[in-house]
Amino acid sequence: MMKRILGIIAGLSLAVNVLAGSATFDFTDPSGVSNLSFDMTAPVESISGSADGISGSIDFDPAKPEATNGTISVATSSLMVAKGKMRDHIMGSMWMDAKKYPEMKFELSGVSGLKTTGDGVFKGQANGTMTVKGVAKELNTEVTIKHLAGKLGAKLPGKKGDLLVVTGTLIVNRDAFNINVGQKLDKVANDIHIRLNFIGYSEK
Amino acid sequence: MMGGARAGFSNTSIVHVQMDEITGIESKRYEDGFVPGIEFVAIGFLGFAVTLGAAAFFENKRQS
Repeated sequence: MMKRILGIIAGLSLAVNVLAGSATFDFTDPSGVSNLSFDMTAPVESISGSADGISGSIDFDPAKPEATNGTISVATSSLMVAKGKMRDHIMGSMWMDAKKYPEMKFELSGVSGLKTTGDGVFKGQANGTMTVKGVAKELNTEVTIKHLAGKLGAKLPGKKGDLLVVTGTLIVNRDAFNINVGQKLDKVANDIHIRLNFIGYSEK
Repeated sequence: MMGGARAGFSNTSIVHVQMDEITGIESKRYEDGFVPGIEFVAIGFLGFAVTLGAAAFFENKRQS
């Protein structure tokens, strides 16, 4: 009888651990803080801006952070720069062609070379695919994943759950993604320095 | 300089950078507003040069 009770307790505790371990985080940020920012430095002009139309989901297990996977999308129409006319150009067919390609996508298949750098903080190489203007390229970039256990209520009062903060930097060439290839390089640099600042929400 | 000294051309939005205390993430907010850029400095220098040139021209003419 005692063995059976212990067996049930052990089974329940394992189930609770498994359930508590892995979670799906929704990256549609109701607080509007999540963003992708970019900087381009050309001889004549420097351009910087950001996009806040973030959505998607990521599965994360603090016991298996290397298996972190999911997809995050950025709405092309949410790209912003400080010059109105420049933004109009960016949305046009020569540059980002927002009507034809309404989303940029980051598909994360896993994280390699992970190091724990703090309580719930992991650094590693994100592996996956980045799709911009219909061109998909392999993505390998340094990311930091910060698991803020029990902190959902701090962002969404009254809710219980976790936050997952994914940050990282990468440099891509606009040539590689068919963004007005080889044109206006004196004003618009070929290298785009991108910073990812994404927040995921998981309610329990 | 109006809007604070800065490099770059004029902007049609004012950019506010905010830090989220919980996540440490920095984000930008765009507000409609004109921020003058270096072309205004260039126009100022051009105006100064034209005024200086005109003054020198008329001064020479007055002396001769």
